Amino acid sequence: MYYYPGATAVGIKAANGVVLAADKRVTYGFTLMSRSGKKVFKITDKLSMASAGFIADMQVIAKNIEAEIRLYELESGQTISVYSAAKLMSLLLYNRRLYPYMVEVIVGGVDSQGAHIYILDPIGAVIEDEYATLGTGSQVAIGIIEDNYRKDISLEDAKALAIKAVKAAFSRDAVSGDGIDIITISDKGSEEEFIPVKS
Amino acid sequence: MSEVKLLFTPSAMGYDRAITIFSPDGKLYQVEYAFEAVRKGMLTLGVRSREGVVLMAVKQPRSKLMESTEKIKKIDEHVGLAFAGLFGDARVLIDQARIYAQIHRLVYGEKMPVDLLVKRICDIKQAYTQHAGVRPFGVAFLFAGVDRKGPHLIRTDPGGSYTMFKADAIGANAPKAVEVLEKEYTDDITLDGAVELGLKAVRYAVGKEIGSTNLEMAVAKTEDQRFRILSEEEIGQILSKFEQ
Repeated sequence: MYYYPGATAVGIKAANGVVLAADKRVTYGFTLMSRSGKKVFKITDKLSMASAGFIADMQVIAKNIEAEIRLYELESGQTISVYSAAKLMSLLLYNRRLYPYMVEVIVGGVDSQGAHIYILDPIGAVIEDEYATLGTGSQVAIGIIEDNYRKDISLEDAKALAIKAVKAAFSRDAVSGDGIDIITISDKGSEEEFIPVKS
Repeated sequence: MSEVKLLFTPSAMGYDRAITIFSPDGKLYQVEYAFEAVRKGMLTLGVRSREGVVLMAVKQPRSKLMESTEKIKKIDEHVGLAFAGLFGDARVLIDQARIYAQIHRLVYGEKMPVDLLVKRICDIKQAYTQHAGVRPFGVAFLFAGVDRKGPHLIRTDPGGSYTMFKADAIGANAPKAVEVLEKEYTDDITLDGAVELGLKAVRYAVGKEIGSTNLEMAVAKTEDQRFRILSEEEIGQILSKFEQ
């Protein structure tokens, strides 16, 4: 079997959008494979995913879901809802029920019903939530978010909170670190950013 | 161009036999004949308003002993259809439409968009105008439904093409019904107005007494996104409300 890679990924739903963030460190056991792994993926203008687990699996899932959603939007002539995207990903994961993609995923975005975040386990359970953390650093990160989250949190504050939570995980989780990839999504679209963190 | 006198008309030259192949003037005779099957079907029409879509289908029991065959079918909670043409052909496509609607729910966790459902059915219809050893479906549908994008009325043809309509009729005397619809349809029509206009078009086109025993009706309302086939009593009430 493989070493399970480290990661810290967080998703926070704000009043007017969502924030998804993850670290960039890729580790296999005691080896630091890379400082520039990407664990946050933009899927459409208003839909993204953040993930923890095997990088190869999350890349495959991100590419597949992107293709499926492009087809859906072309054929139905409407943008996909965040729930439908999460449901679709759930099916992708459950199809591998007996030999799963080794990933956990947060799907987040904004649709006509507002902002949404869904978390999925490796075999595709779909759970809607206000915030979620994944990976080896999740225990540290969730403590920070839980303590500071409000239902009416603004997108800016949610972004700051996400950074704070991931940074907290960096200081105590040895296999998370090397900066933060962050995507903020509002009803106007999404913005990708890299935040360097010394660790 | 040189004048060539044809010994046979194109249809007599074998272009309408067995498989669907093009005639020299670009026609698929088998498909054209399938349209004929639709034209021989009973009159079916639909009218769309902002508040929803109404479908009507005329039926003619061949005997007093016969229990009615339904010409309007529900596909899913939010969408249904009426057909004109061969009942057997319609049945198969209706079964398939129902399956597509449920698969979409399983995959995407939402009601299937009406135009997407129509497209899937037309994919099947098209395939049967191209493959060898099969014949086209001799049936046209009027799909009525409501989804995220609002109310829809869409017609499908045996060739696999589909068209969005504000109001349309298929089957016997359809041109007569369309005449009425074209003359009196307005974009700000209410659902009640749509029902009234539909009835008027049916009465004008059929030219005989319309009662709850020879008319079917269904409504897809925008408000609750539900497609509902009306009972005989309800149709009776509506008929007396909009007496000529």
